[in-house]
Amino acid sequence: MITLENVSAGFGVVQVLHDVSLAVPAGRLVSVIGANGAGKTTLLRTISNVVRPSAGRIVFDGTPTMASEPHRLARAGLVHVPQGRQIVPTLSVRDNLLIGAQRVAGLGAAEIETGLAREFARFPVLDKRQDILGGNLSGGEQQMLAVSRALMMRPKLLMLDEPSLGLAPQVVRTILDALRSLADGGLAILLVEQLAHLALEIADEGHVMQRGRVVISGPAEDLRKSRSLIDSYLG
Amino acid sequence: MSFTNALQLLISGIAVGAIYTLTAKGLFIAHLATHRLNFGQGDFLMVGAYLSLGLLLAGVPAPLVLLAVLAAMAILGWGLERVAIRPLDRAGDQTGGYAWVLTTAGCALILQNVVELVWGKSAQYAPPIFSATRNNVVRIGEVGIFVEELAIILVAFLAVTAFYVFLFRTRWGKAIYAVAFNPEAAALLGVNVKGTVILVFVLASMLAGISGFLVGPLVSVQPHMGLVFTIKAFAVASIGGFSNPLGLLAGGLLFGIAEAYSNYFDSAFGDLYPLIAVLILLAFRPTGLFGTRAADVR
Repeated sequence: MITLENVSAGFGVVQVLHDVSLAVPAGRLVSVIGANGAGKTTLLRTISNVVRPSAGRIVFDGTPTMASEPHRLARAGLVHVPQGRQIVPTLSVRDNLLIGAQRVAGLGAAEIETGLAREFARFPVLDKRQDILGGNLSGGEQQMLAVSRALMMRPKLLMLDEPSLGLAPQVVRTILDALRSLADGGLAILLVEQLAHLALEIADEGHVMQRGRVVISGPAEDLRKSRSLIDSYLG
Repeated sequence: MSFTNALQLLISGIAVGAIYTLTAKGLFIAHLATHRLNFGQGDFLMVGAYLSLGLLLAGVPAPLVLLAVLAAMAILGWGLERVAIRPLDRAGDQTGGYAWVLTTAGCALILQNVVELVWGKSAQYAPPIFSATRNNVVRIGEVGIFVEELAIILVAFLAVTAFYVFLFRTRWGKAIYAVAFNPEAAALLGVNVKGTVILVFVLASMLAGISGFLVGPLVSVQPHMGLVFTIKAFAVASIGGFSNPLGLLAGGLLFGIAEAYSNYFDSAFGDLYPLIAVLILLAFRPTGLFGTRAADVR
């Protein structure tokens, strides 16, 4: 669904990503793990074109992303759940779910209603809290809302930036299990995580990043076995 | 003061207050989405008033005048965003910068002078919009109430209602709240951030346009009337708390009514007392009557 070929990116003279290549096909869950400051967030922001790549090529669903603005990519199905969840605190749970969906071409009122029912079934707690303001949810509920809000847009590729951040282990479990079953249903997922063991447990494939470069890549199963090597990179 | 007088003043106060509310909503919506606003909001109202006056005197029917003013003001709002707001982003004035105060106030000065060139310096009187003469009165028992004022109140409240429906019930309203919270996160949800910023300045300008259309029959129209309206709109927005759209309505009505009564008792300095009252209010409640202290959860 997405391929990166030798992508470099940064801010002004500071280069953050060096020569990153990876691919996420449909139905696969790919995890990128690495220590704080390894460039994981910049990687996702570069794929979304919030940060413009300085070299290399990114192709999403057969089209280079170079010329598309972030909101156009999102409408085309490249959906990015940013770090810290970014739930609009002044809008209700329901309205938060609608923001994105109402901007995707071809999603009519009926499809949106079906989408709402599907997401409320996935995370029943959101159903009960439909009319609560986003700012009044717990961290775990906000993360579920962030995932559902992204899924309302019918993504082809779902990217998540540290969904486990600041959440109780049980909630992290719920969310990761949901991601795994989404991938099994055919969605391409790129998951950026600091909790390496959890991310590799559900992933098909993994990449380890260090100082802006991908240093190890392979099937998640193999990476799980070389735990000590990975730990040395995660610091 | 007789009961008749008191009631007439109340109606006048509500009419003027509704206009302040509309003007203040323009400040509110621009500030909500971009943390910037148009320091020439009152001057945009002045331009709206002159356009209506010119068209009404030319014999154009009032509903068409309103539509034409709204269209012209929408273009003016778009232009303001292009020349006074967007170039600041390119220049790196992203956060904390206050260059927009100068650029928007500068545009206001240009507008004042253009209007002065076209219509001259002296005050003009707009023809009545809704009735045959300015002094048409409906009698309710002993009390006579100006038809113009009632109609102004009606139209202003329709505009306020339309604004709420827009903000709370449409996808554009949600986009404005999303951009207000975090522009990058909004873009990742498919919201066109640049388009939303243009939209709020267009809306703010159209709100000033409706206010200008309605204010004609109530005051004399002159090129330098804008600043007073900008200041009063700020006062209203401060009473309402910049973050609360319903508070703005209450603030506008309170301010308008207070002003009507204070002008009755002191025709020379009547405008002064409500502003002093707002200053005192803000000294004790800096977030206004309806603002919340910890609204910003970012």
